[in-house]
Amino acid sequence: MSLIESLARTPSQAYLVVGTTAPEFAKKFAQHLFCPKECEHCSHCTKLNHGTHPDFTWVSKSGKRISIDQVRDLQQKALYPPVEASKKIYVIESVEDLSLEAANSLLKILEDPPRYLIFILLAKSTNILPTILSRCQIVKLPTPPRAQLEQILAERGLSPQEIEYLLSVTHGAMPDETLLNTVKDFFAKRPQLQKQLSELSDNELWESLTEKNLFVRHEVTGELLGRLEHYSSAQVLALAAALSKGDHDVIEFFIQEALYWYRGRLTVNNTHAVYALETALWKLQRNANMQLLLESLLFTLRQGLREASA
Amino acid sequence: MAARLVWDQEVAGSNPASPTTLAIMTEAHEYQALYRKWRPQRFADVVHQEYTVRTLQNAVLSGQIAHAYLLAGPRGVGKTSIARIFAKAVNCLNPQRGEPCNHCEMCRKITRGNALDVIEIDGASNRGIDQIRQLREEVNFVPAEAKYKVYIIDEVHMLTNEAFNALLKTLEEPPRHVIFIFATTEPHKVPLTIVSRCQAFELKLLPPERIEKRLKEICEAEKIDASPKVLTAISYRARGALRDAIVMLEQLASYKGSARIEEHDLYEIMGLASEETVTEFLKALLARQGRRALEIIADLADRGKDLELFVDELIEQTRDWIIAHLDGQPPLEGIGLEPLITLSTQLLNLKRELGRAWEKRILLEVKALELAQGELAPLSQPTLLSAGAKSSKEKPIKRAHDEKEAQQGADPGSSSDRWTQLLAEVKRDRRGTVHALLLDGHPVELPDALRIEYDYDHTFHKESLEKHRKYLEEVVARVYGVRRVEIAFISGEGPRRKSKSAEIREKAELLKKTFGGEIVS
Repeated sequence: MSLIESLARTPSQAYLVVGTTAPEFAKKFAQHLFCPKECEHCSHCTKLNHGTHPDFTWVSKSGKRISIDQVRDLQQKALYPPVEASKKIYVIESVEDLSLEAANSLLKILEDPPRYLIFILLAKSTNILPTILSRCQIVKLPTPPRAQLEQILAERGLSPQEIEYLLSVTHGAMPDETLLNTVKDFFAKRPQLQKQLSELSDNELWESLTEKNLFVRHEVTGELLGRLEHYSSAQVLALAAALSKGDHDVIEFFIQEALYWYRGRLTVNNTHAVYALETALWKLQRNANMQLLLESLLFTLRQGLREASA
Repeated sequence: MAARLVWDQEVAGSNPASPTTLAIMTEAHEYQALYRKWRPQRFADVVHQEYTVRTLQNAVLSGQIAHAYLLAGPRGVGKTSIARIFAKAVNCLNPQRGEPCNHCEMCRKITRGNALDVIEIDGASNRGIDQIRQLREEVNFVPAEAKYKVYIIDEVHMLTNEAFNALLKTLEEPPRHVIFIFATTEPHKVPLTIVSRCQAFELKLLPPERIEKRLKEICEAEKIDASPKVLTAISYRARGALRDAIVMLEQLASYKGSARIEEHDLYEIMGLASEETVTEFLKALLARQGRRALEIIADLADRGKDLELFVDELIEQTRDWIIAHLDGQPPLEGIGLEPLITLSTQLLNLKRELGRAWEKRILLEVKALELAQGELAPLSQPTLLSAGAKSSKEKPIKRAHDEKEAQQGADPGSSSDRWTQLLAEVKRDRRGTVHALLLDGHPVELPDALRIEYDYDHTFHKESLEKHRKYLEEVVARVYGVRRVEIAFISGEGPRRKSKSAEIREKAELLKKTFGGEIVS
């Protein structure tokens, strides 16, 4: 029996769904509650798919957070019994987005909701207000194990080397269709690309960081990090300046990519590089001075590389 | 405001039905969360809050009812339940030794939540001054049917400052027929001016045994088939909150249907690592087997376990070990208290860092590696680790630290342990100067004495330490037993660290290697 079926047998009043696939799970679960056959034809299923079901409400942040007014509004509307289904479902898209006031104001209705109401809260971790946590059934969605992914990919006709490469690019997550369709092609051209990249000048290489194709970006970052060890201080500063002018997304991608790159080359002497990268990611979300951030980060990284190879 | 009241009653209206009241309720009930179904309806049903319950019950018995109560305590220990029972007890038409009868008209109305005079307000949603002003007006009307008008304000810590202040006058001298009950998880956010006008009660977290007992009762009544072991595991994992425990039980019951609930189901559904894994991981860290620790992490991640929860488990386990140690039952052979405390501190740091980490797995791996390596141990050469794009099982870690481990292990309960203990004692006594002086000394244990040696660079230290000889003798006696204390310059024999000049020379060599150039003098 699937998780959804076993949960739907005795639906509780509040769930906290944790995991990367939480939104999909919430939709699926709602559909199952409204139409246990998940037939895709009845009025429940069609309305859900079109986002027009009157008894299904998706609450996401307006502006930076989910405000207390949104929760108050929700409480008001929750008073009216469901129109079409036997249950009324509210999905709160991200518990982390609730403002402190909003979270507190959710507590009472979460504890004693009208009997037709079901809350599905989505969260990235269980590191949230304990009073919310203790009112919900917690559903942990497991990330699919690697072996399972490998099998799925093998069924798509990929060779073990291609799978290995693809998963290293997505860092173990399920790749999307575009990646799946292009990986064969790209994997064949990879040595050639790597050679081209190694011949690029520093400036050209830095510019290629904005490349759209994920595979190319992955290779560019690898090449760049490989060069970093031998950069002079002036070159590091120039790189920081060049990067900091770029898009927020590009910087974020670079740091994330570097994190995995370092993980592959971890020694006890350069663990501080990982901390530095994590801290940088955290500060990036908080409007830090981009150039200073990058300068300090890149110097730390270079130091880590030198120590590792010393 | 009107809408709010309706809402409160609507919400509470769907609430009732403890086993005691189930019999008297005639309406058909849909499935209801177990913790609501099992909400206590009598003081006697409240678990583990004897002090609060007895005080309130006596107040009802003697008729000496205060006009305001504040119930404070962590989540899921019974604040709202007690407030509702109290509201019933004071208004019950047929009270039984301070307990509500749960049968009379009033009790049933309050249980159903449609009593006009018991008003439950969600303080977090109605937190402004306007709502409190409205409440102040309402307060003046006499109760419609009951003896007392009871205002239960839940989550009261979320009221705004203005709202609290607007409440002060009413709270100090409310009309005779009014009782306020405030409930909150965060009493420190309630202004002192409010607290001082209330009788305040601090509700306690429940001990696991009481939770387990309650769970057993629920299982029997609800015909849930659960192994005793899983109930024990749940009651420990609920960390003192009965609601958490009941929610877990319910989730397991719903997951298993009518099948028997076993302990491993709990681990599976909560994404928890089993106890063996936790113990094994900690042992690997303490035994400095970084590779083993990384394998365990890889395995957990592969099975989709929650790494943050795993760290929580590690912290709990370490804590248990430390307590066992303090009780005089060392849980692991050859592991002292000191490493456990260090480990615990590091894990707590890790927990904080993990909370905001983008890639939790990598951070955990890094930390595990550092812990397994030991913070203070200098490494002769970098230890390559495998946690690459491939699974970390494949490439081995170099054995460098294993050799070191063997060296360290050769000296059981060694003199260096005792030296560390001595330093710790000195620190605990807050003798900072002595501690600093000792740091540069080298202990040599002689049969009848402890000699603290200094090299010639540390003449100052040696002389300064002489001034503290009296204290030193006392503390040495505590750690080493009664001995003479000698403070001397370094002699030819005995373990000896590198001299300062040698250290400088080494650093210079390193600089030279890194930057080129030559050493001038």
